[in-house]
Amino acid sequence: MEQEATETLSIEEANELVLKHTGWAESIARSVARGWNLDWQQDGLDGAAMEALIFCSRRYTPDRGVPFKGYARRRVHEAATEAARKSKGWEKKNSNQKNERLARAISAELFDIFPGLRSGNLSVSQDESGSDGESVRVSIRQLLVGATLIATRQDLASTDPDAALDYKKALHVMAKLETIHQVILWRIYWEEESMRSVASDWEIDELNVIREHKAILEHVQKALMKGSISQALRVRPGLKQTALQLKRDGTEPPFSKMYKEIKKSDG
Amino acid sequence: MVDDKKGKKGSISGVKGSKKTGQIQETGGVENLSSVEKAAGISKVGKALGIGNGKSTGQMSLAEREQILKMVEDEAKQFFKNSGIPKEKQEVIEQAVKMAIDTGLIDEPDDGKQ
Repeated sequence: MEQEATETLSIEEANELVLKHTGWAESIARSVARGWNLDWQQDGLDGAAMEALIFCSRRYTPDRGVPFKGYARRRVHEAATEAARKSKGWEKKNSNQKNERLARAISAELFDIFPGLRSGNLSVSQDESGSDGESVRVSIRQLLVGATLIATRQDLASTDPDAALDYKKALHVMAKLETIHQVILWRIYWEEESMRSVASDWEIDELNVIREHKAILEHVQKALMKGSISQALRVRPGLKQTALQLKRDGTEPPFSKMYKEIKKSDG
Repeated sequence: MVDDKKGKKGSISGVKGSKKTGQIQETGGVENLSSVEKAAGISKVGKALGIGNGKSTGQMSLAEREQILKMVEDEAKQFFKNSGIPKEKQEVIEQAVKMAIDTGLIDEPDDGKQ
């Protein structure tokens, strides 16, 4: 049997790779700083990006056929965003920057749900064959719904007494979803679990959760845009067994419960 | 061969002896194949026009930044119209989406080279 070649580069070769890609890694750090209105050098994003670049050069195995940039981009971006979140600039306390801080916090969470964004990939649905501007718009809509869900959770956790009312419509739409759809949103957005972990817990293919998540966001987006819920979203075949199991287990739909409580307190 | 000279319409009277087939001559060996020349690498691919045009991966570049951010504004306007979410919060959400996209747009594209 042929042995799989997984040889890393020699130190000289790895250093050469670092030298060759320094400008590229810096441009990733600059992009993160630009997007979040930070200073890429003062906030330490440059150093973090370089560290990640060196780390990747030491672990890169060219025999696997993945180009170095493809292998390293997400990691370098991740390092730059982590450094940004720990920087002084992240927590600027000026009151006029409160909304900017909130937006930054939401966008940071979007990377966990739509990891393709780290590579500048807007096909957030992962099985989207984006051939024109329309698929970009579809992706943007998905991001808007995702960001709305994150904002809803963040606001409900705050001390703002009106938060629940601000997002009442969104909560109503979610409360009308099938139990399994509510559980998917709850686990991803409220419990901050990855789609992979949800799929593994249910012993199903991750792609089932990814596709269902995409369908749920599309449904929520349409319902919010119309201002009404027309039809219930059907559970896709790959998740039917899990949906039945949840019902058999008596799983309470989390958003229905939350919406009931909000309505009660609203009088 | 079929003999149909005196046969009536629709009937076959007999088959005459068929001729022997000649021997198949041996095929000549393939003589010389000149070696296939190495194809030249693609030096440069022109930039596709329009956002995401012809890009099955959805990869975006910094050059498309303004166009994409404008799209976010347009989509957000439509999305929030009947949402009941207060204006200030709409702006935060819209800004968050813009930020998430913007931080991923770099000025040096991933060209697939090492």
